[in-house]
This record gives sequence, structure tokens and C-alpha cells, in this order.
Amino acid sequence: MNSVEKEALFFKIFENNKDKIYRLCLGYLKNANEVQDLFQEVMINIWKGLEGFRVESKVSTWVYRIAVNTSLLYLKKTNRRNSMTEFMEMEMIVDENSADSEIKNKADQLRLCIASLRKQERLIMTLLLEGMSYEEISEITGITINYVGVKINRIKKELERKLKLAYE
Amino acid sequence: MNNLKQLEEIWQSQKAVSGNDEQRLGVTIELMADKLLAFEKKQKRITLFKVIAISIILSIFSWQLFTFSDLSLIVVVGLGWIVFCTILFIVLYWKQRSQLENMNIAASSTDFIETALCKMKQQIHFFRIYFPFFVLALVAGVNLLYYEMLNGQDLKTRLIFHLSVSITLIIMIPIGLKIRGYKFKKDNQPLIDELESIMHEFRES
Repeated sequence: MNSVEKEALFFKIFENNKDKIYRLCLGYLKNANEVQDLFQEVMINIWKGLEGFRVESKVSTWVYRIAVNTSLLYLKKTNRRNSMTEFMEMEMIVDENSADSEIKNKADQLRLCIASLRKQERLIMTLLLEGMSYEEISEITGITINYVGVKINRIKKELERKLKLAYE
Repeated sequence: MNNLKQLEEIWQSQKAVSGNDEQRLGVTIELMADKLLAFEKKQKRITLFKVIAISIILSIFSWQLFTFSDLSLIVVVGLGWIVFCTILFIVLYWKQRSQLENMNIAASSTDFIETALCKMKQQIHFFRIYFPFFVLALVAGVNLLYYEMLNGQDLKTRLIFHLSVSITLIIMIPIGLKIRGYKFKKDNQPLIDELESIMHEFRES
């Protein structure tokens, strides 16, 4: 792959996946500034990994694996933990077309609830909300499909409970 | 949860960029391209700097050794040994660090975490194993230099000098290991704990 092909492939991946990756970062972290840092780090890792990218692999799975693994290692660089207060202060970024106050409010609540889950659960829930199948989640995380199902059922119940409390 | 579709819609309504916020968020393709180019340039500069630094040190050292003809063979061997061991230690250390940076980040999370944990722990093992050998090699080199420098002194003086420099250097082993261990714990332990906890959750399957 020459540099022009690499750049073209990267731009294509960027355009097709930027929102998904951004939401994954949003679901994983709580601080807006760190979301931006993590997003850019994921992009750098995608750029670095392009040389080893195999065309036969599914792009979205490959991208998500990099995004998830970069998120898991992100603490190494920041070396700090966020508080819920920081999350609450975070600015909401919602698509202008759908940014009515109700959706904005619901998205806020949803993010707050996801952020209160355990890290591994946050990642799985974020992948599920992106419409990924159990099989794809299993491929990304490396856990068995059966366990993905068990895990998701557990997380759904937990999230439902948290959302009920949040909407009350 | 019957409203998963609804939640998906709400979740996916969040976008990376929004109108005028584009630039501030730093996620436009142009800004990313600039950052990536800057990143590549930085990596190249760091590698170039390391190669140049080692080359300069080696050149100056070789030049000095061969220019000053009054240096005896023992001094040349002693200095050469010290420089060789130092460069070897630094190169092995860089190699160790680069292994962590060059992990396969596109692997599945479980494989990735296992490798990351293994490589991170290897970092401290590397120091524990190689640092004492490095210091002992320095002790040997410095003692060779002292042997030649103190030529003509009485035995007692020579013994005092040899012992004092050797003991001082050997004391550096536990101190160095303690400092390195503390720094490693401070920098890496939170992440190791976190990854181990995530891995534990994964292994529940």
C-alpha cells in the first residue's frame, strides 16, 4: 500500500466511522476534553494500523477493535480517573436535525447511565447501541457469543433500572 | 428491554461534529490529517535523534581513544567496556519499550489485554534482571580504570579507592530498583489493576 492509497483508505474509514468512534469514546469516558483526546488517539492508531489491514477483514470490526483497545489503554496516558461531576458538566453534541430538547435530554440520561456501568459493560453496551450483532461484539471483545448474550441481558436489566430512576 | 431500537436512535443521534463546533472538536478530516502528519514527523525525529545521539557519542569516544596515545590498553578496555555496556543497556531498554508500543491493537480485546499485561509486567522484570548486571559491568569497568590510575600508590590506598567506588556503585542497585519500582507502580499499576479487573470479567465466560 503506497502513501496515496493509505491516505485515501484512511479518509474513507474516517468519514464512514467518525460518528461511531466518537460515540464509543463518549460512552467510555466522562470528560469532554478527554473524549476528543481519545478520539484522536483512536484515529492515530487506525492510521498506524493501516499497513497491517487485510482487505478481507470487515472494516467496521477492525475499526471497533482498535477503538475498544485504545480506550482500554487510555488510562495509561491520562493516569487519572474522572468523576461523575465532570460528566455532568460535559457539553452535549447532538445532530442539529434531531436536536430537540426531548432527544437531547434522553441522550444525556442514556450517556449518564452508560457511564455509571463498569468499563467492560460500557463498551459492550455502546457496541450494542451501534446496532452490532452478538457475533460482531464477540469478534471485537474476544468473548464467546453465548457469554455476550448473557452479559447483554445483565447489562440491559441494569441499564433499564438506571434509566427508570433517571426518567422519574 | 423492548425499547432497544429507541435507545439506538437516541444514542446514534449524537454526532462527532455539529456545525460550528467542527473545528473546536478537532475532528475534521483536515485537522486529523495535519495531526497524523505531525505525529509521523515526530516519530521520525525521535528515531533520528536517537541514532544521531548514539553515533555522536560513539564517534567522540572512538576519536578520543585513538587520539590520546598516552592511554594504556587497560584504560582503553575499561572505557570501552563502560560505553559498550551503557549503550547495550539503553538499546535493550528501548527495544523493550517499543514492544509495548507496537502491540497488535487490532486484536480482540481479550488477546490485546493479555498481551498488554504481559508486556507491561515484562518492563519491570527487564529492569530487575538487567539493571544489576549493568551496574556490576560498570563496577568492573571502573575498577579497571582505577587499577591503572592508581598505579604506583600503596596497597592500602588502592584498596580504599577500589572498595569505595565498588560499594558506592553496588549500593545503587537496590536504590535504582526501588526508584524504578516506585515509578513503575505509580505510572502503570492503576492501568494493570484496571486491565486485570476487565480481564477477570471477560474470563467469567
